[in-house]
Amino acid sequence: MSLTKWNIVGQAKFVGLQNFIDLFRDTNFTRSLVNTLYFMFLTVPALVIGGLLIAMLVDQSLKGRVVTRTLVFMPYVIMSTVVGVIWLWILDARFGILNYYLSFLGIRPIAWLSSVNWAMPAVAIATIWWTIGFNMILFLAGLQDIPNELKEAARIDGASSWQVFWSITFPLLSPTMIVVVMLTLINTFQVFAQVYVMTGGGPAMATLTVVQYMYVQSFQYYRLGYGSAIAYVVFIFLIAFILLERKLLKRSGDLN
Amino acid sequence: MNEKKKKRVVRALLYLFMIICIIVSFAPILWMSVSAFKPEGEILSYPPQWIPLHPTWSNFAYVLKNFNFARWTFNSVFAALMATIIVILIDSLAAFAFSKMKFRGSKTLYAIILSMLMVPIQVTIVPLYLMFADVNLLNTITALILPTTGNVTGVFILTNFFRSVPENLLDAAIVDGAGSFRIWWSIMLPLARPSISAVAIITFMSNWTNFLWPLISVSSDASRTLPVGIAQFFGGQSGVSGSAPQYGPAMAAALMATLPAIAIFLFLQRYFVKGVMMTGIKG
Amino acid sequence: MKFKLVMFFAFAILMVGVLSMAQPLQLVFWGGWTGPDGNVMRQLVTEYNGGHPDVHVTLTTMQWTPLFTKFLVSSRGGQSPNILAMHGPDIPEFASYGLLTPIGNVIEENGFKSSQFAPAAWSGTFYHGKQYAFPLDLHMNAIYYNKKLFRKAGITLPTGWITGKEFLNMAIKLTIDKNGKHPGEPGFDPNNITQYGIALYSLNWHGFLEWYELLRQQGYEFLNSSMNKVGYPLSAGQKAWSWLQDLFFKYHVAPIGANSPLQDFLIGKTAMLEDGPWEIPAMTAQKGLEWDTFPIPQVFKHKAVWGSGHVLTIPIHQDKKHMKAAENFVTWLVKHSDKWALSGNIPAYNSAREFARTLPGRTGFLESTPYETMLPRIPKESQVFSSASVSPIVVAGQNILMRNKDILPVMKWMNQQIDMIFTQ
Repeated sequence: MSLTKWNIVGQAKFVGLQNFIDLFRDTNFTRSLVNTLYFMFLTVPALVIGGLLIAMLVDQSLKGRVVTRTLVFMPYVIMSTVVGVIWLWILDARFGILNYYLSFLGIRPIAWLSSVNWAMPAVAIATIWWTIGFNMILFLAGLQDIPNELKEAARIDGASSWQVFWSITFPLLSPTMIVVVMLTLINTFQVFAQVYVMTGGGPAMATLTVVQYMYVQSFQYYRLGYGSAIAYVVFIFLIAFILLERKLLKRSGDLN
Repeated sequence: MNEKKKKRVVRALLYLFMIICIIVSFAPILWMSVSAFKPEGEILSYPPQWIPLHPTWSNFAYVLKNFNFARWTFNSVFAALMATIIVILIDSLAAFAFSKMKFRGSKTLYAIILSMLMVPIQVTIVPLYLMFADVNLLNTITALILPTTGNVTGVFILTNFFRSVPENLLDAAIVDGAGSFRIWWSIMLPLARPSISAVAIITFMSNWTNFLWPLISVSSDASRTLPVGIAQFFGGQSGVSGSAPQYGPAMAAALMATLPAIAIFLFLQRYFVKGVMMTGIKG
Repeated sequence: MKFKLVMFFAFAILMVGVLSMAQPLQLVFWGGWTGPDGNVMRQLVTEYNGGHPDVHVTLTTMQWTPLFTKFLVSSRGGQSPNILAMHGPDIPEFASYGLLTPIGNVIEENGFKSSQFAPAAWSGTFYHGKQYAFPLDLHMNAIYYNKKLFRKAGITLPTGWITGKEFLNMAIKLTIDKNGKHPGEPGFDPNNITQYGIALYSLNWHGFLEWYELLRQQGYEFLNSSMNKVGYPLSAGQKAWSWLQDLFFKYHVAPIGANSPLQDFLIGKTAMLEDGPWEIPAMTAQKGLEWDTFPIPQVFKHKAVWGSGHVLTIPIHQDKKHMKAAENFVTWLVKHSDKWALSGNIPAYNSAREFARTLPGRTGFLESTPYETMLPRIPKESQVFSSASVSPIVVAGQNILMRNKDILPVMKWMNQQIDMIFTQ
C-alpha cells in the first residue's frame, strides 16, 4: 500500500517507490523526524535516570515509600489526552500555576505552548510526569531481584554506598536497564496523543512528530499511500531499536 | 559522631527528594480536581487558589448536559471490558496449546506470534482502517474492540506461566478422563489467576487509554470513547474556530475520566505493578 | 467455583454486546456544529420531526475534519448520510470525487429565487456550473469591541466600515501600559502592557485568513486564473502581511503569540477581537461584558472580508424516496433559517437575515455581508487550505505574526509549498 497513490474514495494507483522518494525530499518529514529525536533527547534520559533514582529511593527502608511509589505511579493510569488537558491548564501562559511558581524564582512568564522554543519541552515535561512511574516500577523489580547478601558482603568489606552501587547494583541491573531504555525509546518515538491535544504539532511545526505527520497525511490530507510510507519508516526505526536491545541483552547475558 | 551526622544529612536529603517526588506527582492531579470545582469567574483567578472559594458542581453539570459524557464512558468501559474478556479467552487457549500440546509447526507459529509483539499499532493503522472501512465496521463498537484483541503480550505471559505447571498435574487429570478443554477450563485457568489478572489489566489499560485508533476509526459521537471525547475540549492550536479553552468543564471532564481509573488502580495496585513488570520482562 | 462464575458472567456480557449492535434506519443528517450552534440545529430538527410524523431526521454532529473523513469512508462503503452540511468552498473536493448529487433546479422548483439569497452564499453552492447545495448561511470576520473600554478611552462607538488608519489610531488609544502610557508615547514600555487594543489570531489558520482578506482588499486573487498555482503579486502580499505584522511588533497593539484571543477579549484584556459570528454565544454568556461589532477595517482600495458559509448537500447513494424527503427537509430548514440566526451565523435567505437584524451584536456581520469573499474553490481544498499544523498557510502565519520573521522569504516558501501540493 505504501507503493500506491490513494485517497480513500478512488482506486489505489501503483506508483512504485515514488512515495518513498517524495518522503526523503519532504522537508516536513525530515522536520518531524528531527523533532521526534529531539523529543526523545528531552525525555529518554530523564525517564531512565529519573526512574532509576526514584526506584532506588523507594527501595530504601524509609517511611512513606509505599505512598511515594503509589503516587509516582498514579499518573500512569491516566489517559494520555487527560494528561494533555491537565498540562495545558498548568502550562497556560497567563493563568497556569507553573508560571506562577516560577515567578518566585524570578523567571518571567513563559508562553510554553505558543513559543517555538518551549512547546517541545512542555510536551516533554507532561510526558515525563506521565510515564516515569512505569520505569520506576521496572527498575524496582530489578533492584529487588538483586540478592541483599551481595550488597551486605560488600559493605562488610568496607565499600562505600557509592562503590556498592557502581560495582554491584549497577552491573546486576543492566538487563533491566536495557529493557527500560528500549521500551522508553520505543514509546517516546511513537508520541502522539499529548502532542495532538497540547499543540496539534505547532507552532510553526515545532512539535510535529513522525506519528503526528502520518496522521495528518493519511487522515487529514487523505493521502493513504503516503501515510503508509511514513508508517514503514516508523517500523524500521522500531525494529532497529528492538534489534539493538536483543543484541545488548545477549551481551549482558554473556557477561553475567 | 561525624559518621552519624552524615547519615542524618543523607536521610534528610532522601526525605526531601521523596517529598519533591510526591508533590510533583500529585500536585497536577490535585490541581485538576480543585479546578473542576471552581465556578467560571474563579478559575482564572490569579494568583492560583488551591481551595475553591465557592465550590460548585456546575462544571460537571455543564459537561454532562452538553456532551455525551455518559455514552463515552460507557463505550470506553464496554470496549475495554470486552477486549479484555476476548483477549483472556483467546490468549489463554493459545498459550495452553503452545505450552502443553505438541503440534506440527507450533514453534514456528509461536515465533511468528511473538514477532507480532514488535509491530506497533501506528504501522498497521492505515491498512486496518481500510479493512474496517471495507467491511463497514468503522464507527461501531466492534471497531474499538477487535484490533486490541490482536495483542499477543498475553500469549507470551500465559505461555510462560503454563510451562511452569507440572506435567503430572495434567496427567492426573487425563487419567481422570478430562479432555483438553476441561483441563484448560478447570485446571489451567484457575491456576493462572495471578497471571490472568496481570494480562487483564494490561489489556484493559491499553484499550482504555488508546487514542489514535479510536480517533481514526470512530467519528460519530455515539461510539466515541473517553480519550477522544476529552480531546474535543481543546481543538488543539490549529483548531478551525478559535474557541476558548473552557478550563473548568475540561477539568471536570478530566476528573470524571480519571477517578475510576485511579480508584481501580488503588484497589488493584498489586496486579498493576505485576502487569507492568511482566510487560517489562517481555523484552 | 467463584472463578467459573466470573467467566460465565464474562461470556454473558460478550453475548449481550454482540446482540446490541443492530441499528434502525433513518433520514441521517450530518453537520460539524459541535458548539452552541449544534444545539440550535438540534432544536430545529426536533421541531421538524414534530411537524412531520412520517419522517424522522437524526442529526449527528462532530468536528468538521473527522466528519469529512467519516463521509469519505462511508461513501466508499455506499452508505452516505442523506443530508450533509459543509462549507461552500468544500464543495469542489467532494463534487470532484463524485460524492454529491447535483441538485439541478430543485431550489427554484421549491419556490425560491436566486435573488432571495445573499449573492456570496448563492454562488458558493456551484462548482463547474452545476449547483450542488442549498445555501444556509454566511459567516465572516468582523471586529468585536468592548463598549466599556471604548467609552473609557473616549472613542465614539463605531458602526460601519472604517479605514485602516482610523482603526490603528483606535487600537493605539486602547493599548495601555502599566504607567498608563500608549504606544508611541515617550516612556511607553512594550513589556508591561496591561490592556491591548486588538486580539488577533496568529497561531491557527485564522492568521492566514486575516491576511487573505487584506489581499482581496487590494483586488487580487490568491490563485491564478486556472486555479492550479499561486498567482498574487508578491508586493501586494507583502503589504498585507506587514500591515498585520506591524500591529504586533511595531505598534504593540496586539498581544504576541496569544493562545486564546477570545479569552483575552472576554475578560477585558483586549478591547477588540477579530473573529467570526460563531463566537456570539460566548459573548452573550459572558457576564458583565458589553459588546458590539463593526466590520473589519478597510485598509486598502476595496472593501473585502474573509468569510465562508454553511451549505446543505445531498450525497449520492440513496433512492429517490430518501432524496425527495431530504430535499423537503432542507427546503424547510432554509425557510426557517431565521431561527438558525440564533446560532450567530448570518442566514443566507434574505427574509431570515432580516430577523438577524433584531438580534444584538449582528451589525458588523450584516454590514460585511455584501463584501464577503470566500477562499478559492478548488478540489484540493483540504490540503491547500488545511488548518493542520503542517499546513503551509498555518506555518507562514505563525512565522510572520508570531515569530516576526522576514515576510518575503516566508511568503515565497508558502507559495512554493502550495504549488507543490498542486503538482502532487
